[in-house]
Amino acid sequence: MKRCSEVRLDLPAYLSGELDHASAAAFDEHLAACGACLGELSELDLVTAVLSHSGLEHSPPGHLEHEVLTLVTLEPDPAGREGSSTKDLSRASRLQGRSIRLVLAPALAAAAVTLAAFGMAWRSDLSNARDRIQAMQQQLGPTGAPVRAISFVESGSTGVSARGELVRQPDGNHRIVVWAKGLPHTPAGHHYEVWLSGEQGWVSAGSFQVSDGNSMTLSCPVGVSPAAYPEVWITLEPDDGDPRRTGPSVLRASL
Amino acid sequence: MARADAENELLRAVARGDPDALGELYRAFERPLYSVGMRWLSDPKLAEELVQEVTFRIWRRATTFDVRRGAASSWIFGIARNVAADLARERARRPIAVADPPRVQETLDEEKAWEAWQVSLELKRLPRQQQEIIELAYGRDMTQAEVARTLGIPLGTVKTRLYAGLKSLRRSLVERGVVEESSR
Repeated sequence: MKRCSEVRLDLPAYLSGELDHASAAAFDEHLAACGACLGELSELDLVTAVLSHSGLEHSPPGHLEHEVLTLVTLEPDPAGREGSSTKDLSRASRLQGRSIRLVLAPALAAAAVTLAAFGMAWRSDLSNARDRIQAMQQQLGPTGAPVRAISFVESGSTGVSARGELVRQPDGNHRIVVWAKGLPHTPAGHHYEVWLSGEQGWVSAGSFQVSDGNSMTLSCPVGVSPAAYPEVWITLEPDDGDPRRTGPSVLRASL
Repeated sequence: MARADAENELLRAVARGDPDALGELYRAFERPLYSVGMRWLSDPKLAEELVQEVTFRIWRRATTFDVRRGAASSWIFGIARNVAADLARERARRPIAVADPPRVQETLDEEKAWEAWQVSLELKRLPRQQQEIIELAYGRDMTQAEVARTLGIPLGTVKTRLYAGLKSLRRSLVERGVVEESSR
Protein backbone atom coordinates (compact mmCIF):
# COMPACT_ATOMS: atom_id res chain seq x y z
CA MET A 1 0.00 0.00 0.00
CA LYS A 2 1.23 3.50 -0.79
CA ARG A 3 2.38 5.82 1.96
CA CYS A 4 0.22 8.83 2.85
CA SER A 5 2.82 11.29 1.57
CA GLU A 6 2.77 9.64 -1.87
CA VAL A 7 -1.00 9.44 -1.93
CA ARG A 8 -1.43 13.10 -1.10
CA LEU A 9 0.66 14.28 -4.02
CA ASP A 10 -1.74 12.36 -6.24
CA LEU A 11 -4.92 13.79 -4.71
CA PRO A 12 -5.31 16.50 -7.40
CA ALA A 13 -4.87 13.91 -10.17
CA TYR A 14 -7.39 11.62 -8.47
CA LEU A 15 -9.92 14.45 -8.20
CA SER A 16 -9.55 15.38 -11.86
CA GLY A 17 -9.82 11.76 -12.99
CA GLU A 18 -6.30 11.58 -14.35
CA LEU A 19 -5.27 8.33 -12.63
CA ASP A 20 -5.48 5.13 -14.62
CA HIS A 21 -7.83 2.39 -13.47
CA ALA A 22 -5.25 0.44 -11.46
CA SER A 23 -3.86 3.53 -9.71
CA ALA A 24 -7.35 4.78 -8.89
CA ALA A 25 -8.26 1.38 -7.40
CA ALA A 26 -5.14 1.42 -5.22
CA PHE A 27 -5.99 4.96 -4.24
CA ASP A 28 -9.51 3.94 -3.23
CA GLU A 29 -8.10 1.13 -1.15
CA HIS A 30 -5.85 3.55 0.72
CA LEU A 31 -8.61 6.09 1.28
CA ALA A 32 -10.93 3.43 2.67
CA ALA A 33 -8.40 2.76 5.40
CA CYS A 34 -7.00 6.25 5.99
CA GLY A 35 -9.23 8.92 7.48
CA ALA A 36 -6.47 11.55 7.30
CA CYS A 37 -6.03 11.21 3.55
CA LEU A 38 -9.80 11.08 3.06
CA GLY A 39 -10.12 14.34 4.98
CA GLU A 40 -7.37 15.84 2.87
CA LEU A 41 -9.20 14.73 -0.27
CA SER A 42 -12.37 16.41 0.93
CA GLU A 43 -10.54 19.69 1.58
CA LEU A 44 -8.85 19.76 -1.79
CA ASP A 45 -12.11 18.83 -3.49
CA LEU A 46 -13.66 22.05 -2.15
CA VAL A 47 -10.75 24.14 -3.39
CA THR A 48 -10.65 22.60 -6.86
CA ALA A 49 -14.42 23.01 -7.18
CA VAL A 50 -14.08 26.71 -6.41
CA LEU A 51 -11.15 27.00 -8.82
CA SER A 52 -13.06 25.45 -11.68
CA HIS A 53 -15.71 28.18 -11.44
CA SER A 54 -13.43 31.11 -10.80
CA GLY A 55 -12.80 32.26 -14.34
CA LEU A 56 -9.12 31.33 -14.38
CA GLU A 57 -9.38 30.87 -18.12
CA HIS A 58 -9.59 34.64 -18.52
CA SER A 59 -6.20 36.35 -18.49
CA PRO A 60 -5.86 40.07 -19.11
CA PRO A 61 -3.73 40.86 -22.18
CA GLY A 62 -0.12 41.65 -21.38
CA HIS A 63 -0.28 45.19 -22.75
CA LEU A 64 -3.16 46.28 -20.53
CA GLU A 65 -1.12 47.25 -17.48
CA HIS A 66 1.09 49.63 -19.44
CA GLU A 67 -1.87 51.15 -21.26
CA VAL A 68 -3.98 51.75 -18.18
CA LEU A 69 -1.22 53.07 -15.97
CA THR A 70 -0.01 55.37 -18.77
CA LEU A 71 -3.46 56.87 -19.13
CA VAL A 72 -3.97 57.26 -15.41
CA THR A 73 -0.76 59.25 -15.06
CA LEU A 74 -2.40 61.87 -17.27
CA GLU A 75 -4.89 62.50 -14.51
CA PRO A 76 -4.42 64.83 -11.57
CA ASP A 77 -3.60 62.67 -8.57
CA PRO A 78 -6.14 62.12 -5.77
CA ALA A 79 -4.60 64.90 -3.72
CA GLY A 80 -5.35 67.31 -6.55
CA ARG A 81 -1.88 67.60 -7.98
CA GLU A 82 -1.43 67.53 -11.73
CA GLY A 83 -0.71 64.26 -13.46
CA SER A 84 2.92 63.56 -14.22
CA SER A 85 2.40 64.25 -17.89
CA THR A 86 0.66 67.57 -17.41
CA LYS A 87 2.56 69.06 -14.53
CA ASP A 88 4.43 71.44 -16.82
CA LEU A 89 1.16 73.13 -17.72
CA SER A 90 -0.55 75.61 -15.51
CA ARG A 91 -4.21 74.95 -14.83
CA ALA A 92 -5.04 78.34 -16.33
CA SER A 93 -3.40 77.54 -19.62
CA ARG A 94 -5.15 74.20 -19.83
CA LEU A 95 -8.51 75.84 -19.39
CA GLN A 96 -8.05 78.65 -21.84
CA GLY A 97 -7.60 76.91 -25.15
CA ARG A 98 -5.42 74.23 -26.57
CA SER A 99 -3.00 74.40 -29.39
CA ILE A 100 -2.58 71.30 -31.45
CA ARG A 101 0.62 70.23 -33.13
CA LEU A 102 0.06 67.93 -36.04
CA VAL A 103 2.38 65.01 -36.51
CA LEU A 104 1.90 63.00 -39.66
CA ALA A 105 3.16 59.48 -39.89
CA PRO A 106 5.10 59.34 -43.15
CA ALA A 107 3.14 56.36 -44.39
CA LEU A 108 -0.05 58.25 -43.81
CA ALA A 109 0.87 61.46 -45.51
CA ALA A 110 -1.84 60.99 -48.10
CA ALA A 111 -4.44 60.78 -45.41
CA ALA A 112 -3.53 64.10 -43.93
CA VAL A 113 -5.35 65.12 -40.82
CA THR A 114 -6.16 68.77 -40.78
CA LEU A 115 -6.26 70.26 -37.37
CA ALA A 116 -7.32 73.68 -36.37
CA ALA A 117 -6.72 75.21 -33.01
CA PHE A 118 -9.49 77.53 -32.00
CA GLY A 119 -8.64 80.21 -29.53
CA MET A 120 -12.29 80.68 -28.62
CA ALA A 121 -13.17 80.77 -24.95
CA TRP A 122 -14.56 77.49 -23.88
CA ARG A 123 -18.19 77.55 -22.84
CA SER A 124 -19.47 75.10 -20.32
CA ASP A 125 -20.63 72.16 -22.44
CA LEU A 126 -20.75 70.66 -25.89
CA SER A 127 -23.86 72.53 -26.99
CA ASN A 128 -21.83 74.75 -29.29
CA ALA A 129 -19.93 71.85 -30.83
CA ARG A 130 -21.93 72.03 -34.01
CA ASP A 131 -21.16 75.74 -34.40
CA ARG A 132 -17.49 75.00 -34.06
CA ILE A 133 -17.64 72.14 -36.52
CA GLN A 134 -19.41 74.38 -39.01
CA ALA A 135 -16.84 77.11 -38.45
CA MET A 136 -14.17 74.53 -39.04
CA GLN A 137 -15.82 73.43 -42.26
CA GLN A 138 -16.07 77.01 -43.44
CA GLN A 139 -12.43 77.54 -42.69
CA LEU A 140 -11.53 74.44 -44.70
CA GLY A 141 -13.68 75.45 -47.66
CA PRO A 142 -16.45 73.43 -49.28
CA THR A 143 -16.21 70.03 -47.68
CA GLY A 144 -19.57 68.59 -48.63
CA ALA A 145 -22.79 67.61 -47.00
CA PRO A 146 -23.15 66.29 -43.45
CA VAL A 147 -24.21 62.66 -43.52
CA ARG A 148 -24.72 62.06 -39.83
CA ALA A 149 -23.70 63.22 -36.38
CA ILE A 150 -21.15 61.17 -34.43
CA SER A 151 -21.42 60.72 -30.68
CA PHE A 152 -18.15 59.74 -29.08
CA VAL A 153 -17.93 57.74 -25.88
CA GLU A 154 -14.90 58.17 -23.68
CA SER A 155 -12.97 55.05 -22.77
CA GLY A 156 -12.68 55.24 -19.04
CA SER A 157 -13.23 58.38 -17.02
CA THR A 158 -10.67 60.45 -18.82
CA GLY A 159 -12.83 63.54 -18.72
CA VAL A 160 -12.69 63.82 -22.50
CA SER A 161 -15.86 64.56 -24.39
CA ALA A 162 -16.33 64.86 -28.11
CA ARG A 163 -18.82 65.14 -30.89
CA GLY A 164 -18.36 64.98 -34.59
CA GLU A 165 -19.87 64.71 -37.98
CA LEU A 166 -19.45 62.42 -40.95
CA VAL A 167 -19.36 64.53 -44.09
CA ARG A 168 -19.63 63.44 -47.74
CA GLN A 169 -17.32 65.53 -49.91
CA PRO A 170 -18.16 66.63 -53.44
CA ASP A 171 -15.74 64.02 -54.81
CA GLY A 172 -17.71 61.24 -53.12
CA ASN A 173 -15.15 60.61 -50.39
CA HIS A 174 -15.90 61.16 -46.75
CA ARG A 175 -14.36 63.28 -44.05
CA ILE A 176 -14.78 63.13 -40.30
CA VAL A 177 -14.83 66.35 -38.36
CA VAL A 178 -14.35 65.98 -34.62
CA TRP A 179 -14.59 68.52 -31.89
CA ALA A 180 -13.20 67.41 -28.55
CA LYS A 181 -12.81 68.87 -25.12
CA GLY A 182 -10.42 67.79 -22.43
CA LEU A 183 -7.90 65.70 -24.37
CA PRO A 184 -4.90 65.52 -22.05
CA HIS A 185 -1.52 66.83 -23.04
CA THR A 186 0.29 64.17 -25.08
CA PRO A 187 2.80 62.40 -22.82
CA ALA A 188 6.40 62.27 -23.93
CA GLY A 189 7.06 59.47 -26.40
CA HIS A 190 3.43 59.21 -27.46
CA HIS A 191 0.96 60.61 -29.97
CA TYR A 192 -2.76 60.48 -30.46
CA GLU A 193 -3.98 58.55 -33.47
CA VAL A 194 -7.34 58.50 -35.25
CA TRP A 195 -8.49 55.09 -36.48
CA LEU A 196 -11.31 53.59 -38.44
CA SER A 197 -12.21 50.09 -37.41
CA GLY A 198 -14.25 47.35 -39.03
CA GLU A 199 -14.33 43.63 -39.65
CA GLN A 200 -11.39 44.02 -42.03
CA GLY A 201 -9.24 45.54 -39.33
CA TRP A 202 -7.93 48.97 -38.43
CA VAL A 203 -7.00 51.85 -40.72
CA SER A 204 -5.18 54.89 -39.41
CA ALA A 205 -6.53 58.27 -40.47
CA GLY A 206 -3.58 60.20 -39.03
CA SER A 207 -1.96 61.26 -35.81
CA PHE A 208 -1.67 64.43 -33.79
CA GLN A 209 -0.35 65.83 -30.55
CA VAL A 210 -1.93 68.05 -27.93
CA SER A 211 0.46 70.46 -26.30
CA ASP A 212 -1.71 72.83 -24.30
CA GLY A 213 -5.21 74.21 -24.03
CA ASN A 214 -8.47 72.42 -23.60
CA SER A 215 -10.53 72.17 -26.78
CA MET A 216 -9.70 71.20 -30.34
CA THR A 217 -11.20 70.52 -33.72
CA LEU A 218 -9.82 68.18 -36.31
CA SER A 219 -10.81 67.09 -39.75
CA CYS A 220 -9.76 63.71 -41.15
CA PRO A 221 -10.20 62.57 -44.74
CA VAL A 222 -11.55 59.04 -44.73
CA GLY A 223 -9.89 56.91 -47.39
CA VAL A 224 -12.12 53.91 -46.82
CA SER A 225 -15.85 53.23 -46.89
CA PRO A 226 -17.51 54.20 -43.59
CA ALA A 227 -19.86 51.26 -44.15
CA ALA A 228 -16.91 48.84 -44.05
CA TYR A 229 -15.21 50.63 -41.16
CA PRO A 230 -18.10 51.76 -39.01
CA GLU A 231 -16.18 52.69 -35.85
CA VAL A 232 -13.93 55.65 -35.12
CA TRP A 233 -11.35 55.44 -32.36
CA ILE A 234 -8.86 57.89 -30.97
CA THR A 235 -6.04 56.14 -29.15
CA LEU A 236 -2.85 57.12 -27.39
CA GLU A 237 0.01 55.39 -29.19
CA PRO A 238 3.67 55.01 -28.23
CA ASP A 239 6.20 56.50 -30.65
CA ASP A 240 7.68 53.07 -31.30
CA GLY A 241 7.38 52.98 -35.08
CA ASP A 242 4.81 50.18 -34.91
CA PRO A 243 2.08 51.06 -37.44
CA ARG A 244 -0.47 48.84 -35.67
CA ARG A 245 -2.86 50.01 -33.02
CA THR A 246 -1.31 49.07 -29.69
CA GLY A 247 -2.20 51.97 -27.40
CA PRO A 248 -5.20 52.50 -25.14
CA SER A 249 -8.43 53.92 -26.43
CA VAL A 250 -9.35 57.45 -25.39
CA LEU A 251 -12.51 58.01 -27.44
CA ARG A 252 -14.61 55.85 -29.70
CA ALA A 253 -17.79 56.18 -31.72
CA SER A 254 -19.95 54.33 -34.19
CA LEU A 255 -20.55 55.92 -37.56
CA MET B 1 1.59 42.75 7.63
CA ALA B 2 -1.63 40.84 6.91
CA ARG B 3 -2.81 40.75 3.32
CA ALA B 4 -5.88 42.92 3.89
CA ASP B 5 -3.84 45.45 5.87
CA ALA B 6 -1.29 45.63 3.06
CA GLU B 7 -4.04 46.33 0.51
CA ASN B 8 -5.58 48.98 2.74
CA GLU B 9 -2.19 50.62 3.18
CA LEU B 10 -1.61 50.62 -0.58
CA LEU B 11 -4.92 52.34 -1.11
CA ARG B 12 -4.02 54.98 1.46
CA ALA B 13 -0.77 55.56 -0.39
CA VAL B 14 -2.73 55.93 -3.63
CA ALA B 15 -4.88 58.55 -1.89
CA ARG B 16 -1.68 60.48 -1.18
CA GLY B 17 -0.96 60.44 -4.90
CA ASP B 18 1.69 57.72 -4.95
CA PRO B 19 1.78 56.31 -8.51
CA ASP B 20 4.00 53.39 -7.45
CA ALA B 21 1.34 52.31 -4.97
CA LEU B 22 -1.23 52.54 -7.74
CA GLY B 23 0.94 50.30 -9.90
CA GLU B 24 1.27 47.76 -7.14
CA LEU B 25 -2.43 47.83 -6.41
CA TYR B 26 -3.14 47.53 -10.12
CA ARG B 27 -0.98 44.41 -10.41
CA ALA B 28 -2.74 42.83 -7.44
CA PHE B 29 -6.22 43.54 -8.80
CA GLU B 30 -5.81 43.41 -12.58
CA ARG B 31 -6.62 39.76 -12.95
CA PRO B 32 -9.58 39.73 -10.52
CA LEU B 33 -10.96 42.79 -12.28
CA TYR B 34 -10.54 41.30 -15.73
CA SER B 35 -12.11 38.04 -14.58
CA VAL B 36 -15.22 39.68 -13.15
CA GLY B 37 -15.35 41.81 -16.30
CA MET B 38 -15.44 38.67 -18.43
CA ARG B 39 -17.91 37.00 -16.08
CA TRP B 40 -20.32 39.91 -16.16
CA LEU B 41 -19.83 41.28 -19.64
CA SER B 42 -18.59 38.28 -21.67
CA ASP B 43 -16.54 40.54 -23.92
CA PRO B 44 -12.75 40.98 -23.77
CA LYS B 45 -12.89 44.59 -24.95
CA LEU B 46 -15.44 45.50 -22.30
CA ALA B 47 -13.47 43.59 -19.66
CA GLU B 48 -10.46 45.74 -20.57
CA GLU B 49 -12.61 48.84 -20.33
CA LEU B 50 -13.76 47.73 -16.92
CA VAL B 51 -10.17 47.34 -15.72
CA GLN B 52 -9.31 50.78 -17.09
CA GLU B 53 -12.33 52.52 -15.67
CA VAL B 54 -12.02 50.94 -12.22
CA THR B 55 -8.37 52.00 -12.11
CA PHE B 56 -9.37 55.55 -12.95
CA ARG B 57 -11.97 55.55 -10.22
CA ILE B 58 -9.52 54.12 -7.69
CA TRP B 59 -7.08 56.91 -8.54
CA ARG B 60 -9.72 59.61 -8.36
CA ARG B 61 -11.63 58.40 -5.35
CA ALA B 62 -8.97 56.82 -3.16
CA THR B 63 -9.31 59.73 -0.72
CA THR B 64 -12.90 58.62 0.00
CA PHE B 65 -11.81 55.13 1.06
CA ASP B 66 -12.62 54.53 4.72
CA VAL B 67 -11.36 51.26 6.15
CA ARG B 68 -14.04 51.35 8.87
CA ARG B 69 -16.61 50.73 6.15
CA GLY B 70 -14.82 47.76 4.62
CA ALA B 71 -11.51 46.52 3.31
CA ALA B 72 -9.84 47.80 0.15
CA SER B 73 -10.74 44.61 -1.67
CA SER B 74 -14.47 45.07 -0.95
CA TRP B 75 -14.28 48.75 -1.90
CA ILE B 76 -12.69 47.94 -5.24
CA PHE B 77 -15.14 45.10 -5.88
CA GLY B 78 -17.99 47.56 -5.30
CA ILE B 79 -16.52 49.95 -7.87
CA ALA B 80 -16.16 47.07 -10.34
CA ARG B 81 -19.81 46.13 -9.86
CA ASN B 82 -20.93 49.70 -10.59
CA VAL B 83 -18.69 50.01 -13.63
CA ALA B 84 -19.91 46.67 -14.99
CA ALA B 85 -23.50 47.81 -14.58
CA ASP B 86 -22.69 51.07 -16.42
CA LEU B 87 -20.96 49.23 -19.26
CA ALA B 88 -23.78 46.71 -19.55
CA ARG B 89 -26.34 49.52 -19.77
CA GLU B 90 -24.27 51.36 -22.34
CA ARG B 91 -23.87 48.23 -24.43
CA ALA B 92 -27.59 47.52 -24.27
CA ARG B 93 -28.13 50.81 -26.07
CA ARG B 94 -25.80 49.86 -28.94
CA PRO B 95 -27.30 48.09 -31.93
CA ILE B 96 -26.36 44.43 -32.27
CA ALA B 97 -26.55 42.13 -35.25
CA VAL B 98 -29.53 39.78 -35.29
CA ALA B 99 -27.26 36.74 -35.43
CA ASP B 100 -25.38 37.75 -32.30
CA PRO B 101 -26.20 35.92 -29.10
CA PRO B 102 -27.63 38.00 -26.25
CA ARG B 103 -24.66 39.81 -24.78
CA VAL B 104 -26.03 41.50 -21.70
CA GLN B 105 -26.43 39.61 -18.48
CA GLU B 106 -29.61 40.94 -16.91
CA THR B 107 -28.37 40.74 -13.36
CA LEU B 108 -24.82 40.61 -12.07
CA ASP B 109 -24.13 37.35 -10.29
CA GLU B 110 -22.45 38.97 -7.30
CA GLU B 111 -22.05 36.00 -5.00
CA LYS B 112 -20.17 33.83 -7.48
CA ALA B 113 -18.25 36.83 -8.76
CA TRP B 114 -17.17 37.73 -5.22
CA GLU B 115 -16.00 34.17 -4.68
CA ALA B 116 -14.05 34.20 -7.95
CA TRP B 117 -12.66 37.63 -7.07
CA GLN B 118 -11.17 36.31 -3.85
CA VAL B 119 -9.78 33.20 -5.53
CA SER B 120 -8.03 35.41 -8.09
CA LEU B 121 -6.58 37.62 -5.38
CA GLU B 122 -5.28 34.70 -3.37
CA LEU B 123 -3.93 32.93 -6.40
CA LYS B 124 -1.90 36.02 -7.20
CA ARG B 125 -0.26 35.77 -3.80
CA LEU B 126 1.07 32.26 -4.35
CA PRO B 127 4.65 31.73 -5.53
CA ARG B 128 4.72 32.24 -9.29
CA GLN B 129 5.69 28.61 -9.94
CA GLN B 130 2.63 27.31 -8.09
CA GLN B 131 0.40 29.94 -9.60
CA GLU B 132 1.20 29.06 -13.20
CA ILE B 133 0.63 25.34 -12.62
CA ILE B 134 -2.79 25.99 -11.05
CA GLU B 135 -3.70 28.32 -13.91
CA LEU B 136 -2.79 25.74 -16.52
CA ALA B 137 -4.47 22.86 -14.69
CA TYR B 138 -7.72 24.60 -13.76
CA GLY B 139 -7.85 27.54 -16.14
CA ARG B 140 -6.91 25.63 -19.28
CA ASP B 141 -8.00 22.17 -18.20
CA MET B 142 -4.59 20.62 -18.77
CA THR B 143 -3.63 17.28 -17.27
CA GLN B 144 -0.57 17.23 -15.05
CA ALA B 145 1.38 15.53 -17.83
CA GLU B 146 0.38 18.33 -20.23
CA VAL B 147 1.40 20.95 -17.67
CA ALA B 148 4.78 19.24 -17.29
CA ARG B 149 5.31 19.24 -21.06
CA THR B 150 4.17 22.84 -21.40
CA LEU B 151 6.49 24.10 -18.70
CA GLY B 152 9.32 21.69 -19.50
CA ILE B 153 9.58 20.39 -15.95
CA PRO B 154 9.34 16.85 -14.52
CA LEU B 155 5.89 15.47 -13.72
CA GLY B 156 6.95 14.94 -10.11
CA THR B 157 7.69 18.66 -9.80
CA VAL B 158 4.24 19.49 -11.15
CA LYS B 159 2.65 17.19 -8.57
CA THR B 160 4.63 18.68 -5.69
CA ARG B 161 3.98 22.31 -6.69
CA LEU B 162 0.34 21.73 -7.47
CA TYR B 163 -0.31 20.03 -4.14
CA ALA B 164 1.57 22.72 -2.21
CA GLY B 165 -0.24 25.47 -4.13
CA LEU B 166 -3.67 24.00 -3.52
CA LYS B 167 -2.93 23.59 0.19
CA SER B 168 -1.78 27.22 0.49
CA LEU B 169 -4.74 28.41 -1.51
CA ARG B 170 -7.10 26.46 0.69
CA ARG B 171 -5.69 28.06 3.84
CA SER B 172 -6.12 31.52 2.35
CA LEU B 173 -9.63 30.82 1.14
CA VAL B 174 -10.60 29.54 4.58
CA GLU B 175 -9.25 32.79 6.00
CA ARG B 176 -11.38 34.76 3.54
CA GLY B 177 -14.42 32.59 4.27
CA VAL B 178 -14.70 31.28 0.72
CA VAL B 179 -14.36 27.64 1.78
CA GLU B 180 -15.25 26.20 5.15
CA GLU B 181 -12.76 25.32 7.84
CA SER B 182 -12.23 21.58 8.07
CA SER B 183 -13.88 19.87 11.06
CA ARG B 184 -11.01 17.39 11.29
